[in-house]
Amino acid sequence: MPLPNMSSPLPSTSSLWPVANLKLPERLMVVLQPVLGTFRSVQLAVVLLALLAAATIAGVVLPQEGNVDVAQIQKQFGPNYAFMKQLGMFGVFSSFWFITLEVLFFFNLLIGSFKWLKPAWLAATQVAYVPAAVMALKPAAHSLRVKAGADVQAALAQAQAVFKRHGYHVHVNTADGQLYATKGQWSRLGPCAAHLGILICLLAGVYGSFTGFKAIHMVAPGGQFQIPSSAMFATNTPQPWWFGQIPTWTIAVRDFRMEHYENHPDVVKNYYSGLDIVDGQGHLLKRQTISVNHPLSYDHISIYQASFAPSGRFKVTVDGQPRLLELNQAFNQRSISVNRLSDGRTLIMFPFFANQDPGVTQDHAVFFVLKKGEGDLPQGTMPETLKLLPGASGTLKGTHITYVEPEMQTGLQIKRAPEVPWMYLSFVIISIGTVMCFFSQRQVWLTLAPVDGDPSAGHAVMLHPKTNKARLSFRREMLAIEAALVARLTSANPSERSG
Amino acid sequence: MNTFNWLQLEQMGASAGLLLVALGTLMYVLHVLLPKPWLRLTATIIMGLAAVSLMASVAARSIQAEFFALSNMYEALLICTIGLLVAFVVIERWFSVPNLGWAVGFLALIMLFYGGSLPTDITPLQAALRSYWRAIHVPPLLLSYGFFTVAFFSSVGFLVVDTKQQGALSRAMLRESLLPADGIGAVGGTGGGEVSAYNADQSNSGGLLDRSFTGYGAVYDEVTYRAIAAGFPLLMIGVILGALWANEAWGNYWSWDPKESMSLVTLLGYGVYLHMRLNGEHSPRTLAWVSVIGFLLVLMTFVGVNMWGFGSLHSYGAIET
Repeated sequence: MPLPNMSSPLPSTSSLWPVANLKLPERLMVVLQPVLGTFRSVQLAVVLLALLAAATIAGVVLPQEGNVDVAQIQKQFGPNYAFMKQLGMFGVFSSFWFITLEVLFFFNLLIGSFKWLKPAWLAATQVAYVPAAVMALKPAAHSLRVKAGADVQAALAQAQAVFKRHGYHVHVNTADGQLYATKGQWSRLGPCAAHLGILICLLAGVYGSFTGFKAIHMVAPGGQFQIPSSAMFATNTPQPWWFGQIPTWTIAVRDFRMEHYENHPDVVKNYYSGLDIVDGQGHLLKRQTISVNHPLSYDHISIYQASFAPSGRFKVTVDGQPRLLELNQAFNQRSISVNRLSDGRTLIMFPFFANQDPGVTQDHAVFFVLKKGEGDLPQGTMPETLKLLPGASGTLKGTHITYVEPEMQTGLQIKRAPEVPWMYLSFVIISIGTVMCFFSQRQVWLTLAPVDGDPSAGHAVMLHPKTNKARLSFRREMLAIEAALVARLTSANPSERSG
Repeated sequence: MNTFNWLQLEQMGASAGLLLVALGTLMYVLHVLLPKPWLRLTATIIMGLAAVSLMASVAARSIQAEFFALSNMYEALLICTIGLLVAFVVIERWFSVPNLGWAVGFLALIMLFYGGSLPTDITPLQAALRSYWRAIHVPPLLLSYGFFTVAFFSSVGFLVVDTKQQGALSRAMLRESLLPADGIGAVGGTGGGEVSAYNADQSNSGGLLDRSFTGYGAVYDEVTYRAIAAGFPLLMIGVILGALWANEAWGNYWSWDPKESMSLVTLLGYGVYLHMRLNGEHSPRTLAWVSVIGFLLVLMTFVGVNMWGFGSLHSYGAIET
């Protein structure tokens, strides 16, 4: 192998790498151009949409931690669990690769939208005349089987009437013998609008995560709380980068009630929490009863009726006096309520729940009454008891007891979402954009070319139709327009019909 | 005092709807054998009347239930059938699509018969679903499913026609290879200078071949696109309304609920179709296959999620027997 001629001068670095000759912004563009080209391609959009769809299906089909107990997932997947967890398959929507796909999708939308915006805008707003000579070269240009007369203005007026009847916006250039007709031009902006809406939606979501918060709190009637308690924060617990505001006022729960269907008393129809918003001095700022689908809004914060659960207290009446019994002692690993009554009697209650206790088919409570001097609850022997369903009454050792119901506590979700107006705006834009996409832009260029280069001999009519979608409908429409043009121009100039 | 018998109206509406769909389907089958325009027009009108009749049934049921009747699979199928019939009648009047009526009719019959075999009792709604949002969130979704179903049938029609044409073209090319050179011009003609001129433009801008842009194939291809283009905004609006409702009711726009997620997948799937179509680099055959896949996603969203036990807030579609 011959050695290189060492006497010849070495090529300069700049000739080896032409970019070195460029200025910094130009160099940057050389490097960025292929990246931008990739990011704005429709092919990448197709690939990303397909990958996001596939990933979402994985998130639906595979059990996701947070929705399903981890131990159950481990049991289901056995030795494969660790590997699949490493891949993020049990938390698809928060996995690094799903978020990466979302970020790529964001940039594809952003850069792609900019690419299409200018051409779409120009197509929607510009009147695009094409010179006759250029038109003649276009592969789709073809002449009608009709020849217009020498009067260009009259022929264009006839053609204009035809296109207007088909709903076209018509622009006429009499000097050059041209007509440009278009309709549905604003539909070209539909994809850009839809993309813009999605971008605003994604950005609004990011803004919300920096400034909003969501807290969940269970509270029994009569209770109150302030929001700044870290234990209350749900998924988006404030992070170091969070710069939103947490209110200082207090939420007090006046009451909570549930409504059941008349024909299905076991099904909850709705539930209601009476709420007071109170400031630091105890002044009432707002009072409202909320229910599912009807939140309270105050100071840019919404309080939602989210759930309910037993509070651990039970409403009873003892000899006609209402009492609220709390679970205050344990007996055989079971929480019970032991209450001293005024005359030295002791009322003991064991609550049982169908959804908690094996073998129990109906919620109920078992009561014991110990008279003064009878001591504690006897071990081993079953004393005289009273079993009551909610709403039922009975008498035990001369004590009249009504088990009203277990007290329920209300589950409130408190949310500050400053991004909401942006979200609504983005949704409106997306909706309008996708509806605009349904329509197609139709463009027709009509040119009158002098027959044999002599205007006095008449003009041949040339058409160049173009659409971006809905080709068959356009073709049908163009056939109708052509027929109308032939009829109009022939009737205006009957001797000039060509064969 | 409410003395009107809404239950009777509901049952009459459902029965009349079923009979009308059966009659319309029969007429479409007859139209295949005896292609008379009046037969086709009558069949389309009957399908439209069937949709109106089923709407009356749903309205009467909703009045009895005191909420928009969409709380179980029977009601979901009833409303989805209405969406299918409405979408079909719109497309049929627009394009006069060949051989689509009988296929849609048979599917509507299957949906109605299957729905009728499920429990039809009015079941109470859980508190979260008692909202006017449900009445505006669900109909666009089910109407979009109707358009996607029409797109599916149209895609299948395209694939059948295209496969036949490909076979005919191959046979013709084989025959011509045995003929003198001047015989080649007769193959693959599009029939007319005007059509050729348009085809030249279409193939430049959209990548469509002359072969597929003529005859039934062109109609099926365009109907598929138009049906998806009509269904996509409806699906998008339905999903967006659902997100707004979720935020209004629970303070969350999106919670990756299985039904939500599958709606998103369907949206992404048809987004792929529309991008591929606009890109113009894919054959109508490829696009038809994407449309078929999109319909499978619709099926998975509508029945699959509930059938396989993924449902949660959207458990209205649960199948109870």
